[in-house]
Amino acid sequence: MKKLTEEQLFEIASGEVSRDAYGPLSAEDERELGTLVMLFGDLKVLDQGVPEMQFSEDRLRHAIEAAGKPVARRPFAWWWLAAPGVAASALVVVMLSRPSPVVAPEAPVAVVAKNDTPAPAPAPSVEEAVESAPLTVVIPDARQPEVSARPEVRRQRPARRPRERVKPMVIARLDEAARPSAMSAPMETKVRAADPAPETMAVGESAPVATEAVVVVQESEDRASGVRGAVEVQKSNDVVIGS
Amino acid sequence: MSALALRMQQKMTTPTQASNAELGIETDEVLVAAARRGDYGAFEKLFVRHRQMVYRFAYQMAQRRDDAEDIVQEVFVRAYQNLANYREDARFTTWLLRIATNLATDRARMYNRRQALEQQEAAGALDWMTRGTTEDPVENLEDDRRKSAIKKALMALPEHHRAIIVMRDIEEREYADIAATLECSVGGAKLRVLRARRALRDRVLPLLGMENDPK
Repeated sequence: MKKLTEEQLFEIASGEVSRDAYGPLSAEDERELGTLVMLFGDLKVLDQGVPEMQFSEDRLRHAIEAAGKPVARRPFAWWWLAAPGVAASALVVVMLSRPSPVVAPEAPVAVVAKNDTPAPAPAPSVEEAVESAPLTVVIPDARQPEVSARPEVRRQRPARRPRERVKPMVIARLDEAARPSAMSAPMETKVRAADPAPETMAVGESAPVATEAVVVVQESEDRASGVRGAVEVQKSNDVVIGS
Repeated sequence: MSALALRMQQKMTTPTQASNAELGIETDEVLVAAARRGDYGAFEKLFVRHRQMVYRFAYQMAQRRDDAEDIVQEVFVRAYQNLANYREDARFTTWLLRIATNLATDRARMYNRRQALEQQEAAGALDWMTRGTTEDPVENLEDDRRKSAIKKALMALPEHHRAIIVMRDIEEREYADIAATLECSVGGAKLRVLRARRALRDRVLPLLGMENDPK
């Protein structure tokens, strides 16, 4: 009398095989089988204790309406098979259309503060221009982590402006018209007017008297030297200009 | 419906299904085909035909009527929504039962988790109320005690074991059906049934005060 396995005992207890299918049972198997038969019998009784269902067609209809339309079965999208080829060809086109090497774009610089005060008009030298250039504080963009957060100070070179002609300031001018060039003047008497009147004056000085230099050339040549003599005189009412 | 769609529909319809439809026999397959074409009345007939089966299974899994009805509702809503995905290589009832198994298992897991939390919170509070109380005289009856122990053991089983016990030992389904529902072989289904029975026995016998003698 062999001892039955657990599986065989379950099969007999659940009624899947008959009691005699595995031959006579031992006393121990009989005892175990009795427990299992009781267990399976109680399990089958559980099926009889189900209460009545109160689930109507109306409830189902409302639930289906609330859930929405049924899912439509999608046909297989065959055109997706061509997607890798299209992507590869697009990549080739992009690569061919860019012959120059790709240069990383410069990081955008954000100007935080800028001094827009115009530079002084006369810019006599580069050193002065650099010194007087507007001060610009440049802070790197916060989106660029590799740039240090320390602000960079740069001086901008001022824009070149056309120089303005400034009339020289004449403090005082008396007689400075006697020049050697006057010696070579022709026979006629030349009257050289002085420079235009000064625009500005030194504080505390009196206005200078504008004078005109008159060169009087002798009509006859000197016998010894053979040249004509000339005398420079101050213009006055006594001098008659012209012949 | 266009002529092309009609031809496709006729092509997809099996000869048996076509002959059943011609004869006016409303098999599940004929009703499913009609429901797929938008005939809600056909789906309602399927519901009336199979709701008890789904409900009974759901009740054994949940042991509460309202929970079981919720499962039934969810099963048929999902079935209606996914009717286009139903393949006719399995029976409609098997397909329904597969949905019910998955839903009941998920629901039982959620319920067990929630109950464990509630018990953990109320453990101290309820201890003094239950201590020293006399048992209900009905509970003293041997049959009721056994049934209560089996119910308790069944609910304490892991969900996948419980579903198999319900299918095989309570509803007495064939191994082939269980295999189709669980999407495994018949041998695999038998092995799962054996493991589930062993787990149930190991839980019931201590509750009944019997010794467990594993072989």
